[in-house]
Parts: sequence; structure tokens; C-alpha cells
Amino acid sequence: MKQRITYRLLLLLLTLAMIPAVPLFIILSGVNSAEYVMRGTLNLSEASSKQNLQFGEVYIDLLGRMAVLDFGQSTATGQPARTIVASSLAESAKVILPAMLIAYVIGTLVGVGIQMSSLIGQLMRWLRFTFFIPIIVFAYLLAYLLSYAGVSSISPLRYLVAGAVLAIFPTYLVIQSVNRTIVDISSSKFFQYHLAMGFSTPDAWARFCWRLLAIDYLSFAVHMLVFMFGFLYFVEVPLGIEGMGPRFVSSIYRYDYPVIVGFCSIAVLLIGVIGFLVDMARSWLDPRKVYV
Amino acid sequence: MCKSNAIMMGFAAAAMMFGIGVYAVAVDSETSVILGPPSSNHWFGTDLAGRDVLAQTFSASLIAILTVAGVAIAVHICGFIVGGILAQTQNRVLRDMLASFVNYWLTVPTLLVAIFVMILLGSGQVKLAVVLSVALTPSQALYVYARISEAQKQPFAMVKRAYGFSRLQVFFSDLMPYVHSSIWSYTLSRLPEILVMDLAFNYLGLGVQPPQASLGRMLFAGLPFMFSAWWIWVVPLAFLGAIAILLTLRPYKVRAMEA
Repeated sequence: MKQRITYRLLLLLLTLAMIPAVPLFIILSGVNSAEYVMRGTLNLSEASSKQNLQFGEVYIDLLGRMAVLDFGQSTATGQPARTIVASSLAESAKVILPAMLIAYVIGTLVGVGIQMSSLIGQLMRWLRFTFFIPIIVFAYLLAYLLSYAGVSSISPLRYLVAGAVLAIFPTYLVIQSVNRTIVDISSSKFFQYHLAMGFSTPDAWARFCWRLLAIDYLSFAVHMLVFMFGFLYFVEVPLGIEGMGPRFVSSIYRYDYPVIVGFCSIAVLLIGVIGFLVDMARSWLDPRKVYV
Repeated sequence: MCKSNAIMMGFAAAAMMFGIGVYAVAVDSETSVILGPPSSNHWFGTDLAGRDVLAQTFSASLIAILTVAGVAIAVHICGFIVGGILAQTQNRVLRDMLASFVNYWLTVPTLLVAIFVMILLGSGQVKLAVVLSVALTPSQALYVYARISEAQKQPFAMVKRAYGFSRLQVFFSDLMPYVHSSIWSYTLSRLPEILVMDLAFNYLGLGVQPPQASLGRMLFAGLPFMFSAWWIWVVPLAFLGAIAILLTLRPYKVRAMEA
């Protein structure tokens, strides 16, 4: 377990170290947009005079600035990229946190419900395909309906709808996971042993098995965040929420590299740190202390 | 879904695509009517550049399907190679490091990293297919690694090793046929994921470039005209939903293998 956490930490640092290196490699290989990259990502005010800079020198300079979260200034608005990322992250949190809550609550209820009622299981089998329809389809349809109904762009209802749409696929993952974990644990020798020892089923769950379910939940937190950060703009852009999504899209359309680098670095850092904390929590919770 | 239903749905989808294909060839795809509403000449109206929306959507859907198929094949092959190497590696430290890297990769916002790389590399559907293949290979490799490791513990594999067959011989003659159907099934289950990732890039304008159309670009272009020219976004959205559902309903034979 220690080894796993060490590797994770090293790989996280390596990923962050790679972010400023990628544009430099691309400039050196002369692939594309070198001028934009120089002026934008590297935020070199006198790009032409600094083109002869050594790779190492530029890289260390960039890395040093990234370490203090200084991604330069937006080439489109002139604001510090860090400010833009922070303000939009706060706005997106209003979508991501409800989405996670919805996914966990609905997913758990349906996952447990499948075990208790064959009707819910049958219904899930029939409706399974809806979870695989791209969330942008739902986002557009609901954006149309909300606009038609005259719901304002700053209404909390829009955030709730955005959260619900973003939660569609993660809910499916939680349902599958809860369902599988319950089946696996209920049929395990570990569980049967406790029943044979005289524990009731709820008692065995409350005393021993909740940890295994909690480990599953923790694992999903990271995967959910990865999914949600990646596809945030699919819900925020149509629903008109001024979070990370629209800012990210507009920065791409404007070739605003400092903001793009800021978004990518913060997302990698945030998810990496959460993943690291999740690993620590798992090692504390898991009675087996071994991962497959 | 039973076999006959799956076949019927497949035929219906193929017939529909053929019909729309005929329409796309026959229709006057370039007109001077900008944002023209649906009419007998243009069943689903025209877009901002006066192009027929249905014909554009048809061409965009074909590109999306081809990309999904190409990336799926590339990911399947690369995942098999990387996962196979991972499972066959004797050096435990190296194997643990590789497995940790692959596990770590799953917790990185792959899409954002891939978008970052795509921006620097420049737009284009071929580049997009390559970036997607690279981004999706680690998770495929992890699955392949898990399946092969599990197969290596099966009695038939252990008996053959005990008889003196080399690891490579056992891998090619026994393990590969044993795990291939489930890996193939896993690859097919990833088709909707690949479609969504392709859409995500095209929505940002990083994939197919004008004058070629893409579903993502059409959706993005239709957003400001949500009410005034609804046909611009409704048709690509309907096609997207239909393709996703068709990709989710995997062939009967594969489902049977999974069971």
C-alpha cells in the first residue's frame, strides 16, 4: 500500500512537471502554433528576443511560476489566469457537488432496490441504454425547456438541473458498483462466517461490511470527478452557467493558453490530491490492507 | 434484447441511413437561403452557411462512426499489446511500476490532458483519433492485464507450464484465445465512451475542420439559435442520440459470449 501511495505521489508530480514541458517540446519540434504557444503558454512578453533561450532555463522558469500557481495573464481579457480559474471553479462547484450527491444517493437507492425488488432490476435492464446517451443530449433538451419556461440563467434550478444531468452516467456506475458489491459480499465466506457465528445480516453489515462498501464509494469519488471535470462544459455551456466549462471553451476558441494551462493544471492537481487522500482513506478503512 | 429484434433494429438503422444518404446526394446542399426553415426542398432547413442540415448531419454522422470504429480497433490492438506485455513481465518491480502508472492514468482527467495536447498539436480528425487512441489505451491495457493474469491462474495454463511450455507459447496458444472474446466485448462496450470523447473534441472545434461538418460543431453552432432556428441543433442531437443507442445495443452474439 505504501508503495502504491508513493507511486501515485511521484506520478502526480511527474504529470505536473510535464505540463510546462509539453509546449516546450512542441515548440522545439516545430509542430504547430509555436508563436501562440510562446506568447501565450510561456507568457513571454518579448517572445522573439527570447526564442534563443535554453530549454532548461525556460522550463525551470515556467515550473517555478506554476509552483506558485502563476499561469500568467489571460491573452484575451488581461486578467490573471489564476483569478479566472478560481472564480469559475467556485461556480462549477455549485454543479459538481450536487451532481456527486445525486449520483451517490440515487445510485445507492436503486442499487439496493435492485436487490430487494426484481421489478426495479427489470426496469434498470430496460432503461440501461439511457445512461449511455451523451449528456449533452439531455443538457440541450433541458436548456430548451428551461428557457421556454422563462427560468433565469442565475436561477438555482439551472444549477440543480445541470447537476442532475452531469450525474446521469456516474449514477449508473454507482448502481452497478453497489449492486455488485452487495452480491459479492453477501456470497463471500467472510460474510457467511459471521452469519454462522450468530450475527444477523444487518448486524454483520453495520459492524464489518460497511467498510467494503465505503471503499467502493471512495474509489468512485475520483472517477466521478475525472468524468465531471472532463464533461463539465457539456452541461454548463447549454445551460448558461458561467463556470469552468464555458470559460474553458472560450479560452480554447480564443487560443488563450495561460487560462487553458491554468484549467488543466488545477484540474490535474485537484483530482491528484483528492486521489491521494482517497488512497490514504482506503488504506485506513480496508481491513484486508491489500488491493487487487 | 433477442436476436431477431437486434437484427431488425440493425436493418432499420441501415435502411434509414441509406435513405438519408440518397437524400444527401440528391439534395441541393449549397443554397443561398441562410437559416432557412424546414421545407420540401430542405427537409430540416439550412444552416448559417445555407447548407442543408440533414445532409450535413448525415456526413458528420458518417465521420463520427468511422472515427469511433477506427479508435476502437486501435485501442483494442494497443491495449492487447500493452496489457500482454504487462502480464508477461517477469520483473516484479517493473510490473508494479507499469501497473501503478496505468492505475494512475485512470485517475487523471484524461480528456482535459488530451485536449491540452490537441490544442498544442493543432486541430484535425486524424490527430484527434491518434490522441484518443493514446488516451484510452491505458484503461484497455489494465483490463487486458487483469484478464490475462486471471487466465494464468487457470488449471490448463498451469498444467501447460508444468509440462515445460514457455510463457510465450502458453500465451499465444492458450491465454489469447481464452481471453479474447471478453476483451473484444469490453472494447465494444467502450464505443459510446469513444463517441462522447470524439464529440467533446469536436464541440471545441479541435476535430473535423470546415467545410466538413461534425456533430459537435453543429451543436455548438446551433446554441445561439435555440429558438429562432431550432432545426440546426435538433437534427444533430437526434442523430447523436440514435448513434449512441445503437452503439449501446451490442450484437446478440457478443452479449451471449459475455453471459
